[in-house]
Amino acid sequence: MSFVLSANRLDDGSVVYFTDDEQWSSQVDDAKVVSSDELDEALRVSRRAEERNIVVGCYEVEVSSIGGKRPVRLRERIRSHGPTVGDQQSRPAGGPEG
Amino acid sequence: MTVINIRGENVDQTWRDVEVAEKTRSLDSVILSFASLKEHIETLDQKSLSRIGVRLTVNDEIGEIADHARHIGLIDLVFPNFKDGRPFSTAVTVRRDYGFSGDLRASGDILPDQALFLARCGFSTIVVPVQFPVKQFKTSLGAYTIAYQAAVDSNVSQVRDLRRSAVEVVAE
Amino acid sequence: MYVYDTIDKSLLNQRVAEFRDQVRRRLDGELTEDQFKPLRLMNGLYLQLHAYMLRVAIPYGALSSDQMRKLAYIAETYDRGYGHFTTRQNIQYNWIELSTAPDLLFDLSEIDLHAIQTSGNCIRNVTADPYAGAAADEVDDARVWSEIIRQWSTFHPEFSYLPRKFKFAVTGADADRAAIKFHDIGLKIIRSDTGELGFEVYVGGGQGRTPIVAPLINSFLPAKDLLRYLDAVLRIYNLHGRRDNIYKARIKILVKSLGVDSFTSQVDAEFERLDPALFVVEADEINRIRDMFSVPYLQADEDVKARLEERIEESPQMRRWSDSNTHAHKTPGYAIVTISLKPIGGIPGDATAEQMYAIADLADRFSLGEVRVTYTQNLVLPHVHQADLFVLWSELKRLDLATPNIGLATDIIACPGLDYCSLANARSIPISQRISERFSDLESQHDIGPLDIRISGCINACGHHHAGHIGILGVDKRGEERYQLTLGGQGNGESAVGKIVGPGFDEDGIVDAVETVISTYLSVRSTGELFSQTLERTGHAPFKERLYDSN
Repeated sequence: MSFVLSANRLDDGSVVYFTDDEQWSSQVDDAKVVSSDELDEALRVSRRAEERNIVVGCYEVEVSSIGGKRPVRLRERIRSHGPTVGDQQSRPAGGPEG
Repeated sequence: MTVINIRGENVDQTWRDVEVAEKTRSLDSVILSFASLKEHIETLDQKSLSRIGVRLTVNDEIGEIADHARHIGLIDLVFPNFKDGRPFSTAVTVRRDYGFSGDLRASGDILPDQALFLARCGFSTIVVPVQFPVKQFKTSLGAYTIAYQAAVDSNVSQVRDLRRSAVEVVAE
Repeated sequence: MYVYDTIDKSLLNQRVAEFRDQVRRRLDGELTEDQFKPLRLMNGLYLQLHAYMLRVAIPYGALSSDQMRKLAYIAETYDRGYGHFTTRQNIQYNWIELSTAPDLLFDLSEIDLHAIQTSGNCIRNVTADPYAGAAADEVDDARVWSEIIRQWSTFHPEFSYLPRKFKFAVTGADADRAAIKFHDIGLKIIRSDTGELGFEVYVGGGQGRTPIVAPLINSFLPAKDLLRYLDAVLRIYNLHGRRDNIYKARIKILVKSLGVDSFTSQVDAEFERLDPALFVVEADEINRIRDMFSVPYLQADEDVKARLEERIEESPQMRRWSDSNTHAHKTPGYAIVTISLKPIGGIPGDATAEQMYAIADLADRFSLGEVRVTYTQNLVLPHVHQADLFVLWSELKRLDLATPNIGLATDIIACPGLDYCSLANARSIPISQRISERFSDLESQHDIGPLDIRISGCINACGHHHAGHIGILGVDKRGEERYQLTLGGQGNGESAVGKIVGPGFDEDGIVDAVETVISTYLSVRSTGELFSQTLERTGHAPFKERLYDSN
């Protein structure tokens, strides 16, 4: 199984993903992908940002092993792409299919 | 251990934590566990009781010593978790129903932000958890000068108390 | 409206300052997330699926026009230009930042708005009859007593760290427009045989995992004893409610486990122990509050209705709207108007900043500056002169706020669901939109008659699905969204919890299922029989047959 790590930025609450260079990006495409074996260590490293009050609630998101970083769960796809409802002007509905 | 009163001032800690009566020769200024106090309570006269303290957890039923409570010197209510609000109600009961006038102490897991609620429920001293600066407790105690309810011990300066059409101004 | 004086304003200002400092301490790391979370929640700020979500309090659902303008301002300044009115008469903003939240709260405070105790294990917003002060059938104005409870419960030093959240609802009439029996404490204002004012007290109702219709524990509580009684109930709950399991921590669980009689005796014993002098609400104070809610004298106008009828004759559209979206006012010549936030295919309960500004203006022009929020996620203009109805209607139409569907099939309650909420298992808004589109035809809706469709995206039941004539519960079945169908719920009056009919459906299936249920009703109903009445007569059988018939 493949995973990316996600959290919310403490100051603005935005959804972010842990990147290869230990930063946090709002785009799931920038996320570092880890295998099940690497997960514990990756969580440990990423949670340092919680201790430093940069993010809150760091956890793992399973992504499809085939072709990149599409979250497996609908909830996670909505979280990464935005609500599936709403007009484009006031609330971007990128849709989880993206 | 730092103990403050409800004005945020440090108070001298004269009480000894003894837990079990048998472990000490003198019962003067000792804090016993609830179980230990219950064991000995019938043998203690009012004067002795006034020199004793008791520590209650949320599982201890203070009603069991209701008749004696007002003579006890110190009652320490322990917060197992700052989200567990039972000691607030126990404090109100102890002050209002049992007429306890001694030192009502809050200890355990407490946030500075709860300080004013503690004071208004009748606590007179707070054991400051080590991870918080005393200063923050003092700040929190002064965060409000107004309240919507009369408290057991009103120590905010103005109370809009629905019982009274005029606003009650309470001396600090 | 209750108008804040220096006491109220000072308290609010001190709260804003306190929260600003709490945010600073969190951002600086002086408070951990675990320590900060309950403090943040007591100020209505959640960390949600996409961002921080702020729930602003609308006490007992009553707003002034200026307050509505401020809510619009908040939407466009701190959020993405819209807000969501909830089933507890509050408003939610979905895209809030922690770092600017103190400024947002400061802005709200300028017009006496706040987010105090809209979350957390404390006493929440008191919801009340949205027609309070306007309806002909009320015994007394529910807002007076709601305001008294609000003050008593705000920053209550003893009851701010309860086992779980605590919700009140108050109705001032026999007609329960606040779903009082689905609350932790529900109050109905009544008069005794001797004319004394008092309350029927219901304790231990709720939805969620264990939906329960609250039992009546006091058939007449004199008004003078209200706070003393509430103090007793809250103390029993604070001391004895479960703290080991959040799913069993509400007062409804305590009432059920003790049994109603035992619970009631404990409350009564505590009540007796309390000194009445500490809890009397002074007549002067009640009158001070009551005066603020009294409506200026409205001149009764018996003739306007006839004149209105003439105009309505020419406009079937207007008649349709008037039939479903207006309600009798206690003063002849006036009407209570409901603004539908359920446009066909729209998101239930949502309003844009532009709409909110416009509604504020309409409130000033037509409703003495007052707006109400209903628990069914609509808005109300409580004092509209019938001579103004035509103009009001056309203005509302222009704003897409005049869908003539109040109480009908497309007046759906839906929680935000998986599109917005981290607790959800499934999306609810798209289901609502599709059902709305399926039943958009107004003739059909009126033919079907009153029908409460309620959708929740998870078992927490914020969409009130248990109380819907037709209830839909979203669940997660092996990673797929799945929807269970319940029938026979009732939110008010003879309140009832709906029962599940059978296996669940997928997204397409549930919309078809709702259509099947409705067409079954139409085919078996007796003349003039409402949906809820037919269901009671026939039971589930004909519906199950049609739903699960393998043909």
